[in-house]
Amino acid sequence: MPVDPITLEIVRGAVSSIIRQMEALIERTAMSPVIKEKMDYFVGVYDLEGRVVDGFLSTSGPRIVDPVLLEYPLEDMQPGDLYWYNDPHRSQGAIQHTGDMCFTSPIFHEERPVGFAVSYGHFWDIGGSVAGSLSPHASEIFHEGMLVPPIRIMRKGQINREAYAVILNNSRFPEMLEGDTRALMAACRLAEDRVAELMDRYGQRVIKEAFDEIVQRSIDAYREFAREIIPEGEHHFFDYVDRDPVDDAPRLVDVKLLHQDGRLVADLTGSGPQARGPVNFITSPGAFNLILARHLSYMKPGLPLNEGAVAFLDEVRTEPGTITYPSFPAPVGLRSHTVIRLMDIMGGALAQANKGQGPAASPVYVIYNLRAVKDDGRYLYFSEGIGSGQGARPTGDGLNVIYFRDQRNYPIEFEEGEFPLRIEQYSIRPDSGGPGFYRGGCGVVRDVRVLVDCTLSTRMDNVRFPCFGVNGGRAGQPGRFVLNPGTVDEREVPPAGEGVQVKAGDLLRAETGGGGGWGHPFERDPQDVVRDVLEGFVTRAAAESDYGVLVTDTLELNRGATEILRSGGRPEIPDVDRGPHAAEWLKRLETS
Amino acid sequence: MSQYHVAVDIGGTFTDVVVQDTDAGELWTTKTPTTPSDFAEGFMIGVHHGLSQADAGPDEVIRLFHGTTIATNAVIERRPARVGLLTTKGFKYVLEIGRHDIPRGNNIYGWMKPERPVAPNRILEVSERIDRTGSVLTPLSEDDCRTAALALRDMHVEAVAVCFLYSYANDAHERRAAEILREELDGVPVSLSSEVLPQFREFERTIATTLNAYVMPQVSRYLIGLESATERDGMKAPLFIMKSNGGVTSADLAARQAIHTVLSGPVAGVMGATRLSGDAGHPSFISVDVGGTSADICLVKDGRPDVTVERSIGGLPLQLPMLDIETIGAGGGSIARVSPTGGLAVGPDSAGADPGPACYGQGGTEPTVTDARLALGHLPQYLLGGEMRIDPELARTAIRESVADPLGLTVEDAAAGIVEVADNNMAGAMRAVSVGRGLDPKDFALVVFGGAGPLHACSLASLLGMDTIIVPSRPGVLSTYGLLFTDLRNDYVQTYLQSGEPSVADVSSAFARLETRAYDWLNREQVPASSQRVTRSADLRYQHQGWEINVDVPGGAVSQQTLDDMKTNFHKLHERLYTYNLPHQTVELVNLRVTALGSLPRPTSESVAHQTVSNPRPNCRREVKLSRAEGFVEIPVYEREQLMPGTQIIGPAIVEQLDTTTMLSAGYTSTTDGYGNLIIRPTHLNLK
Repeated sequence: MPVDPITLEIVRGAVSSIIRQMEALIERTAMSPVIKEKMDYFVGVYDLEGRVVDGFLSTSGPRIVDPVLLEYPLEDMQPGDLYWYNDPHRSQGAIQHTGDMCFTSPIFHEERPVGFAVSYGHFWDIGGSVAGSLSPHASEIFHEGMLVPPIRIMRKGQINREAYAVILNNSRFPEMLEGDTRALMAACRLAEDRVAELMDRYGQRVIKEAFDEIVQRSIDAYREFAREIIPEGEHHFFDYVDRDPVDDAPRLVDVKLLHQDGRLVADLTGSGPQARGPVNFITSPGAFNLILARHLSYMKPGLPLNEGAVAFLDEVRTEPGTITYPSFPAPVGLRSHTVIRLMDIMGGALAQANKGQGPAASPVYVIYNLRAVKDDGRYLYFSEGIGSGQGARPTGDGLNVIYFRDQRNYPIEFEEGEFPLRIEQYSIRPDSGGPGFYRGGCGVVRDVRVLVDCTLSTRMDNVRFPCFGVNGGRAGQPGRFVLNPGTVDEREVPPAGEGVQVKAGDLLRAETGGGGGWGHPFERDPQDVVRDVLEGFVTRAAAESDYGVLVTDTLELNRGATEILRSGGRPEIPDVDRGPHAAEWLKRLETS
Repeated sequence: MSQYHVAVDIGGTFTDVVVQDTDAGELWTTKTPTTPSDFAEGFMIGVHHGLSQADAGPDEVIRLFHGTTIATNAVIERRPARVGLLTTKGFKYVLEIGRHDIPRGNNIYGWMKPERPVAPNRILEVSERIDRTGSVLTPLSEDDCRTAALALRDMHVEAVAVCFLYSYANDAHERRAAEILREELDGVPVSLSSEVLPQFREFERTIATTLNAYVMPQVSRYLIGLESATERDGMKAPLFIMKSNGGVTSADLAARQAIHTVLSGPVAGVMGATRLSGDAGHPSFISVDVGGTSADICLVKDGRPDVTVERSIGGLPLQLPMLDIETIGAGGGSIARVSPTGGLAVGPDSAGADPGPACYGQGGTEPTVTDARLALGHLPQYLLGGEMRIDPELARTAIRESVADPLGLTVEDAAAGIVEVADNNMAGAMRAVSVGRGLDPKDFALVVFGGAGPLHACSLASLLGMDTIIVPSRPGVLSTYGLLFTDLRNDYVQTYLQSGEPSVADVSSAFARLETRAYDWLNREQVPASSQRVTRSADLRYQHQGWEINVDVPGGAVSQQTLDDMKTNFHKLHERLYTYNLPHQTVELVNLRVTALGSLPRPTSESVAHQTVSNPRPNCRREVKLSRAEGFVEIPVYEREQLMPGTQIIGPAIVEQLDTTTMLSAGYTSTTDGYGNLIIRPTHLNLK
């Protein structure tokens, strides 16, 4: 007998409260800035079949328990066991890059296994060729830090000290690695206790049935909505990742979404060959489902982010040896460059298929790393993510300065204590957002005065191929890195550079790109354009050229001149506008 | 001539007043309609009404206590004063950029950034820079300050906030900027980050400082209006305002630190519960205050509510010391509907006061928890002593159409389900506030109040295994009552700037500086020395952690032993809260805190002597459905006024009174104690 809807809701609420408690524990206790301030971590409660009942899903999460079960059959598991791994190739993309260390523990109730608790976080340093473990110039996975296969790090609550010591000893910052791993392990333990309590209250059978029901209903809801929103036929969309950081060539990312004979299939086999550098993405079927699910749950708020979001497509086709399914030992550290293009492509495909009901593209986030070794042999290392402008959407302007979802920037008053540097500017970059009826979000200008000789590595995409606009909206502007702008020492920094020498006193400027626009900019309310000028998001010149809005010296609307401008010179803009930079590169790729 | 304390709490619909004779302890309560066009009018009508009940004159009032929602409403409803903001050069977009995140749990395409309290065109940059140790890197440009002041004058700003980088380490630039602003902008209030929140994290500090500026003009206008109204009517008593930290402060200081009153309302309720539960012999309790739109949950251990600095309001972080009250969207007006995956969701959105629950007949068509209660017979068809009729047919129709038919349930089962889901949502939040702190709810009493709290009491206690429930005699006015039992309170914090091992000398002198400010304030508030109390605490963490744990620090001379004890206590607390500690890792001292308390004289409450009286006569009997598993049964309904001290009733039963209804489940027994509280316990425990 299925669980009644009321008990179902109560169980759902209880599990989501467990997730929140796990998150609170990690945020309060983790040590590396990536987890505690940036919040790059994930937690979940899974059923016995390894399906997500509830959790915080990033792009990781789907089928994350499977690699453990492959090595350690359920029959061998005991209460108090805890498993650890991070190997991306071995786990077939369940973990997407080495920095994400994953912990799994079986949940027992009345001596029977009933599910799994999972937590993972992105660690500050796990060895590899450079401090921080991720380098744009990595050319095989072994450069990206240690590879932990699924191991049993705890047996009956006792930690395996030998294995733990080996792992900690391979980090440049062992004390942070210890703090973070203890926090994540404690979060799993907490979930075990809470789920067991839930079973005490309602009985094992009811909870198991409720888990089944929660998962099945979610899958059904996604299936139904996906069929509704994706018209029958084939929907093709593509974009390019700017470059393979090792050979510098652009890489094609290509998806065909097929709705045929009642089946929904995603075909990624048209993507370009795998990169020599680390922008490869091992696209597990679940991860691709999740990329599409984010769009679906935007269009239909209330769809849960659990197993349904990762298992509603009938098939995801990938081809080994491509950038969307690279073969061992390809490096994968910067896989987000490809992940975010896939997200953008799905937005573009939905916009094309649904009269504009999909968002314009958003840029890949931007990171720079500073590294030095002190005289006493201690490492100085700092890695910072910088937000960019997000794509405009059918429901509003793109967000200004966002770092991909829920990861936070470091307070200046915190980071200046972590590394010898001084932040001298942190401001909006005007005109970087793609013009549109809804404007693309603006990127940022961040000036970093480096106070010590060190090496710099950078990570930025959307320079050659900035964010496309949809439904008549324009593309966003590309970003750039530059050292000592406006001085005789000015020099460009490559967007995927490694080992760039920086002197104490140098100023590093990051200018990040903007999101694509949505809808024709000449249809934007002129008063909104004036407000954008007043608040510094759009310049007067761009208001005139991009929006056909004349703003006076006193920053007011010149209504008459605007009407004339808009009625006369309205430009034709294609449904998908990739902008002049991309057009040039597309031409170049065609001729080569 | 007698002496009286008067407490006034202004709610959305009613203004509640409690008058207390400070010698005899006798209480009078009264209720008048709130007057939104001029709150002072309803305030004074209420006060006069209360005084005439007590047969007291305005000159016999020695202290006035007030909880105000002016600041809360200004922030939540975004009715801002026109505010300007000065920042360090290069950081004008600090509010717009924020933490550059989409808060967890929100869809990346759907999320909208909450509107910032100040638009970028009213944010002006000033050349200056201080580093993290407090040294000046770039001197303050007074020209920039003056230019900014003139620009803000042209914009007719009503208040100005100033937040410079590292001002918590050195406030000289902020103070000088304030002087210039005051010279150029006569009478415009200035809010400094080094006064409002002298702690690291520039975005959060800027938000707090700006929100303070944002509510200052309204709060100060309002308080000046109240003070002149009371003076006009012959009251010379000082006016004390409830702050979010659980203490009161003079109206003058409240006007300057207006944002500190943002939780005034719910905090007063917790203070009332603390007093009442302590008197009843249960100083450790979890309070649940259920109103129309939300439930406020607070854990109080040994008579001391926890203070947190991690709250947010209206989507903006507000890291000021506030009582650790968890608010969830679960109230009488919470809407029930079928979720996209076919579950039954209750809340967090609410039908509010308008249109209100379907049964109010004001056009609401979505079923609420109140509709479910009515359909189950838990509520009578007349509320507020017969002033308001509610319609069970409207409730049943709404439940049938939105919930029962789509889920294939009977209306009664759907109604019972709605109540059960709402109960579980609250129980989940209560579990999080207790278990999340390493505490077991079983060790706490449950205090329920607010209009809808006592309806949930037995279900919550049973879900959490709690075996003592306290229902105050007047659950609807506990917040007002709580105002009478507050102390003067101010909190002082200083970020500890030295890295490495803290030194006895540095810690000692930092505490001494904070304590000097604390005692200065208490003296300014004219608290006699014997009533002054100043306590210390410190925020510690393992090196590299992002959150601190607050540890009590004893008074007196600071020694190496004091510092060692701080660390030992930190390790212990870390293990209690998070199940592990790391004794070999470095512990950092992050903030030093000092709390100033000035206790106000007040009468003690007396318990009335009584004998146990069982089985009183019910007022009537009513058909009710108690749970999904049961059908309708007839159970007795009592009037609260008839349950004199010592009266015992056995559940299932319903107790009705003007401002609330108490559900007494089967298996529970209620005994009225000497203070008029209902003490509800499982019947089998009562028999022991």
